[in-house]
Amino acid sequence: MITDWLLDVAVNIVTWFLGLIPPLDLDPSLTSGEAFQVLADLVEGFGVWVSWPVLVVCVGAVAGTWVIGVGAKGIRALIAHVPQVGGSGD
Amino acid sequence: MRARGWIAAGVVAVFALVPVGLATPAQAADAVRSLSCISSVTCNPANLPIVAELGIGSAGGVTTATGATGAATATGLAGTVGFGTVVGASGAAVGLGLLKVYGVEEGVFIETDPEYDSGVVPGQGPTVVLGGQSLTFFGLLPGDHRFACFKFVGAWSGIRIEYHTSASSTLFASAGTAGGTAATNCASAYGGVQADWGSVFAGGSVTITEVVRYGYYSGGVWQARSDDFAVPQEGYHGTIRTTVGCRAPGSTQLSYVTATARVDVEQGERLPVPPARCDVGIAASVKVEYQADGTMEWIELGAGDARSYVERWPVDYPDCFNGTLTCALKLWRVSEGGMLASCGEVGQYCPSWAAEAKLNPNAYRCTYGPYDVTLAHCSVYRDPSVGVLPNDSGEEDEDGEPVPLPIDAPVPDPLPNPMTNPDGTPAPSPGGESSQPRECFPTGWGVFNPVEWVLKPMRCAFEPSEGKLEEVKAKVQQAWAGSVIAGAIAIGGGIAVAMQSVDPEGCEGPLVAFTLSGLGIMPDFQYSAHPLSACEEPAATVAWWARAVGSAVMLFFAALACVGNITRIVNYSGKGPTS
Repeated sequence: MITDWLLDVAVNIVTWFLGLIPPLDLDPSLTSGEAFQVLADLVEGFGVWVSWPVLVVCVGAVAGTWVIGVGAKGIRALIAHVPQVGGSGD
Repeated sequence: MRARGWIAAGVVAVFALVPVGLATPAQAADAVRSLSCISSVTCNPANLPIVAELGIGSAGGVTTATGATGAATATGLAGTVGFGTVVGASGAAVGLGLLKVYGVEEGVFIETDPEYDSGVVPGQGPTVVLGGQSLTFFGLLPGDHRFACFKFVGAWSGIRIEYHTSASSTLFASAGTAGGTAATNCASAYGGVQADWGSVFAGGSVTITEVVRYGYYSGGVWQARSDDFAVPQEGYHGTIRTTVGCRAPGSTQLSYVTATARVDVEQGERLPVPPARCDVGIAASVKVEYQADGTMEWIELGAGDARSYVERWPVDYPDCFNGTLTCALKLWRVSEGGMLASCGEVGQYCPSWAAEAKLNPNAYRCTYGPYDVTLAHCSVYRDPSVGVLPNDSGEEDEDGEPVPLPIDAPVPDPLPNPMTNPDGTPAPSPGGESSQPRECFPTGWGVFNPVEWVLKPMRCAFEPSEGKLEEVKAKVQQAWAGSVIAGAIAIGGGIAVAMQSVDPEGCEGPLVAFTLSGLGIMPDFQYSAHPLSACEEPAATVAWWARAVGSAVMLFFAALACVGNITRIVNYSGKGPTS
């Protein structure tokens, strides 16, 4: 019953969070890609002038290292709270 | 700050370009909430119009099994045969697309034709397409037969997939997430479970690590399986031809698609039948014929026609069958100003709509794709707290259309567990656990054991009650299905889909097209050209250098940003002592 209660609390928090913003009523063209065909055409058009694969790699690498950095700092902050381990946690 | 700007741009770009190829639970639901009446929510053939109805997303093929020639009318009838499309992992059809549909009380078992077993490399099974949604079977063992029970569950947030074995009378059952091992049995499907498998089905694939011998459950006992195409003593040695009559949207004429294949099968073997599929519209008829070697005569092995109302769908609802829209029943609340507000995927945002609509029918509207339909069709959502409900009255109107139940029809009681072993004993539950009620205090000789007085109450206190986890999953999945986050991911998927059409080898540059008609001058003037075309010199060389220099600049700044991100982990800025 305790676990049930905890699960209910967790679920209520999750559903509350997910329900904070009114649900989207997506037009099928948004999920089918139809609405973004203009964007795709533009990307394709500029493909001869801009190396999109390189851009994707660069953006991915920057984002990836940023995530790694945030993760490492987060872990370090958590460890800093362990007694006898110390650290500033920042 | 400069790095932060890069990071922000990177995150946005990655999100925009990430290939999200997953169908959302809502999309999975769209595949089944068609105009065909739903006889039962729990694993009933009528929940599978895409599969069971000849016509929608179907391929050619017919069977003589159970005497059900003209197997287009599998809906609601046990033992009939439906049609679907079985395609390979590449998306190309690999077989007949014949799906046997065994209606079993409230359950339906779909067996992909065993021809797909042969030659199927373990781990690369075929994909069953359900109205645009695909479900890939992996890990199939050649020669084995498998059964799947596609259960369209409560909030339409997913599909339950179930695999059974008759040899050991045990059910292969396990659970998992998208891409993981996943299966369960029908037993739990009737225990009030409202939602499951949303994330799994959203992934479009389920990995099956164990598939055992075949069998199917029917009428309370395990039964041996019968062949659908009975191969005669002399075998089939010649050509098999499948012909599908396709009705395109808005067309009153049929166009025919045929497929032929060479066959050499002996009695006792399965007869492979080539697939034939309509590109758009519905398959209104199907015929399978055989021509023996050395003869000119085509012998009809089976044929069937779609039901009349199915055949009319491309005419009545053309936009839903031309390949551009995935239509589903949807409920709307009509405000005083005539504005429409969505009641959610399953009517969850209008919990008392049925009672209100009974008093004021104009307060709500029901649509199927872009078309208005009678409000009664939305009676599948008459109690959103339960999920999608049966609405098949079992009657047809003068046009042969199935008549749905009214919106105030009673909600059926929970279904009993139909799963039993051949001896009539209940089938094991998914985890093999006993269904005995839990004891929270010691009994018998245990009352003299003080440890029992601690352990048992503690266990009761901390062990989640039966079905609690399923309930939690259902609630979370239902909340997720309508959330902005899920919507954003779906939009990201749409962007990824659009990007897949990009041709990286193009050299024409962006198309610029406009007219001056809006200015009121030169109404006939039109401009349409590729001013940045780099197909010819010297633009080609300039474009090459632009790509090269641009790439070098991007790589340089990306490298700087990456180094900065890494060094900041140890608070090293590279600019001397930090303040």
